[in-house]
Amino acid sequence: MKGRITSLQRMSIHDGPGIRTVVFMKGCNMRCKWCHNPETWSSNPQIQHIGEKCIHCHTCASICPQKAIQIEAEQIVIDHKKCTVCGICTDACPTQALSVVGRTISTDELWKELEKDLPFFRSSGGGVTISGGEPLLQKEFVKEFLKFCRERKIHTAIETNLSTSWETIEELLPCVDLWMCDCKTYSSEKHRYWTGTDNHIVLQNIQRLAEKRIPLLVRTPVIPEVNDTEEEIESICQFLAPYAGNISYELLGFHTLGFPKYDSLGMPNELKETKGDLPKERLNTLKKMLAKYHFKS
Amino acid sequence: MNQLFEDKIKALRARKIEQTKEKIRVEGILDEDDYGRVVPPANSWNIIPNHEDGSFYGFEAWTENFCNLMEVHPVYVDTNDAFAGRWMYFMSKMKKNKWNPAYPYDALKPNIEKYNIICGIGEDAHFAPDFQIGLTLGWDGLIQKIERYKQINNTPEQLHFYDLHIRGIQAVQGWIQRHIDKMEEMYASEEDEATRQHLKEMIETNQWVKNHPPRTLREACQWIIWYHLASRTYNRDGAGGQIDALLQPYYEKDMAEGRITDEIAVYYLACFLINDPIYWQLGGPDKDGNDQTSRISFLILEAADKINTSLNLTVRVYDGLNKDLLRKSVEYLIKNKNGWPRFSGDKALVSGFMKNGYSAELARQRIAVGCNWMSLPGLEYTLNDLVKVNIAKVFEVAYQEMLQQETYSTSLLWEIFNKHLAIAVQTAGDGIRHHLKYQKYNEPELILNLLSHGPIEKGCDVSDGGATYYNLSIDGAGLAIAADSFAALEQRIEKEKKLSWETVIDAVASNYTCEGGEIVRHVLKNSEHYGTEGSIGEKWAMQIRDLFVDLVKGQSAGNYLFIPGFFSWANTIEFGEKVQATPNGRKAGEPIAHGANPVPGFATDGASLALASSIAKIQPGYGNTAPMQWELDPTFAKENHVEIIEAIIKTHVELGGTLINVNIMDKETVLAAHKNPAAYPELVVRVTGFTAYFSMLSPKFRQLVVDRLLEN
Repeated sequence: MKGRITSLQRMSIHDGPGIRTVVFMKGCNMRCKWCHNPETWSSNPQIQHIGEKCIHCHTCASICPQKAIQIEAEQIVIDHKKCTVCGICTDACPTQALSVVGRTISTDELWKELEKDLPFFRSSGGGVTISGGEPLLQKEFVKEFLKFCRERKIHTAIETNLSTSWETIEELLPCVDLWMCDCKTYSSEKHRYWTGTDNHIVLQNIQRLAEKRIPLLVRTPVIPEVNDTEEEIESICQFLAPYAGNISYELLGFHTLGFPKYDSLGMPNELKETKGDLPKERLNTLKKMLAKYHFKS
Repeated sequence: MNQLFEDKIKALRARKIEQTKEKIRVEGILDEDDYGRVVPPANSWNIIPNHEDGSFYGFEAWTENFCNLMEVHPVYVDTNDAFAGRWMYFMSKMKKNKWNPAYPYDALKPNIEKYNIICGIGEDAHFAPDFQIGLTLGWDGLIQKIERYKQINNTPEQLHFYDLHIRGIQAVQGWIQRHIDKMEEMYASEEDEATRQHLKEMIETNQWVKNHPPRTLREACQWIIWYHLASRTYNRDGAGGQIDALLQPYYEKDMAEGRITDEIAVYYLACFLINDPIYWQLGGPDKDGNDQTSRISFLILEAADKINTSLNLTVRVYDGLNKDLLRKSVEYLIKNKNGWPRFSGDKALVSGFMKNGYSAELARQRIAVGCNWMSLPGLEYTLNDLVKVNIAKVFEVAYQEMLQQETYSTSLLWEIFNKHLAIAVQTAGDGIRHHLKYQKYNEPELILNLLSHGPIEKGCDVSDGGATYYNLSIDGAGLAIAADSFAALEQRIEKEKKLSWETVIDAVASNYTCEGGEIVRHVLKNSEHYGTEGSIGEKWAMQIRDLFVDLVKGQSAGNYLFIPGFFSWANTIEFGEKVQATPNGRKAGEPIAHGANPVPGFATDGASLALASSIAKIQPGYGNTAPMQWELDPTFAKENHVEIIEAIIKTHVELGGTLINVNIMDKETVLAAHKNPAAYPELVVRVTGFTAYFSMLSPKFRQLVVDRLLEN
């Protein structure tokens, strides 16, 4: 079976226990305005141009059959509407400033890329995390791969937005050791505005996983002027409170490290001019609120 | 810890910083270990030449110079310190020439130059003494041992050999006595009662160890210090031993008899460690496979943490190692970010050394006591870390020869490379044999002979048949440059046909400055590197490794067994300066890659894991090392990642790794220190196998450290 992935990240230490390899799937059903992985939104391959690597040789412009690359003031400008992602420019680019983001891969091929790190997984209690994008959009591929990992006694985790049917989740339960999801806001209206989707199903799925005592880590990305208030975090905490003994809950501070990706992919970034990193002090203040709920550590 | 001890250690650290500053002010930069050495008084001693070239050679002259220096060597007593003595003179560096011109090796010189070989002829030490001999016998006992063997080995040459060693010991005893005299003087005029008591104890300790074998922890530490200071003075010998096992009986006896507390032990050990960053090993198996970790192993780490200067402690990692010791050592590594401790891999070291035909018992005793090297204390002569073949230069010679042919291919280049690497290794081997034949007439090992099993028993120098084993080391350097160059040519020209031979040849010849040269350079530079699993670069690296190992092993004959390793020490700049542009996109004169490490920037993702896997795989496999030089990002190297870092160390060892040198450098601090080194006298970096004060490195070397940091 084949799936479409954005990339693999070796030695991740923030996406589950131990040393992990994270598989970023390609394609997402949410459009979080703060997303720091916009390259995972589209399920199709995209051309990415990293300006820092470019030596301005202009080989790409001269070779592009679609004439989708222009030089303006010595800089590369890609017309993404014209670009067919044929990959000719990326092959020709001497510095790998141009690359195709996204590729199709079989579960066997994926395993082959991961298995070199098995000794590190074993020694650290780590494993594989399927992230995204939204992994459950490619349920069959993910299920087959995670099953494969479980059979080889590799710890498995999935990072999902849970905006999917319970049946889909249920199908995956036997092959996932740890579920990770966001509770971005408690307010449906806000959720719709900032992510483009409703959160009823997300909240429902969180409840069902928690009730079943499935290992679950809920996280809230704390975004300035979106959900960085005591009230907002309090409302999420209260929603999660009945299950505090079953689930873990974390706050993650917003950062702008993903901003350059929008430019490199030719994607609009609505927050570029308005948002900066969440101040550490703010995050710490909000984190202190969690103590009284005694979430699982 | 008791405030008094805390204050004393603080004062010792402060004095050490001042001594480092003074070294820079008086002597300038030093691209080497700190050594704990302090600046001697100006014009206080100079060598006594015995040759018209202004240098001195042979047993008589070395003994004469050493004894003469001992007679006038300044005394060093600090009442904050539990021990007397400091190293000041670099005798071997004070002489003009390294090698006695009466034993020329002119025939080897053209190839030494052609292949940029560090030949090791005339080099000294770099094998380990067995401190147990000295701790058991003491100085008088060593004299008695010599007297005993004088009765057995009594040719005039042997009798002379023995007399010179006795002179050497008596010179050391005289030096100790002058310290005692000084301390008695200080005692007489000291008014503070606590200081008087401290001096009294120092006097008693030294009065005893001047003649007798030590009885207590304090005496054992002081005895080791005297031997080591003498050996450092004589020829920079920096090898230590299994320090926890050596000191354990003294510590336990002192504790049982109520002589010391753990606090006092830590104070002694802190003073012991600040004296000299000797290479000591902690933990790991004894000859029977039992872990040597004991309470004192932890106290040594605690003492190291207290002084936190430039240190060269190595923890031997194996399945049986006390888990708490490993955890504690990783915690200190992360807490202090000073490059200590290092970690050696028992599994591959033992199984590799056994492939030479040695037993597991012996292999377990071969411990980490040098920059990149292991040694059997008191049993072997090795020239460890002293003989290096610049594989990048060999590649350049082969590449240039290929250009003279009618057609070009990587298979032809490989064929030519084989021929030249064989000549280079043969040259290195011939150099070692020449050294072994004549070293006794050049620079005999007067001090290391004393703590070796054999020289005294047989009546001959350790380099001249005195050692039990001759396990001679030849290291390869610049492996990644050659591997990546082969890979770039194969991938870009032969497989992908993206570039033509002519284009590459022109670009390389112009140092990538010809028209389009920079584009060609990037295409080559971005080909599949050694360091990425399953890459073309890795394939070539393994091929070169196999060839190098076969060639080095092929030098073995008779009693001389040759063992390959991969290590560049601090020679990455010097080696790089001798190599023109290479087809891996490296420009002329740029440093070669570090030891067995891939070229910096080899991986964009998961570099630590790729590094750990690749270097475990590239091991030469006969008990010498190919260390993993690991630059850890300080944002990762935090307390909450101790388990992860420990897991990577354990996995590297499990996969076959032999030695891990870790650097955790804060980018901002290093960049600021690079601009103004004098403002950062305490900043320590692990340059290679050794740690050094950043401020003592030359600008070129500092730049190398900065580049490594930025590229990783």
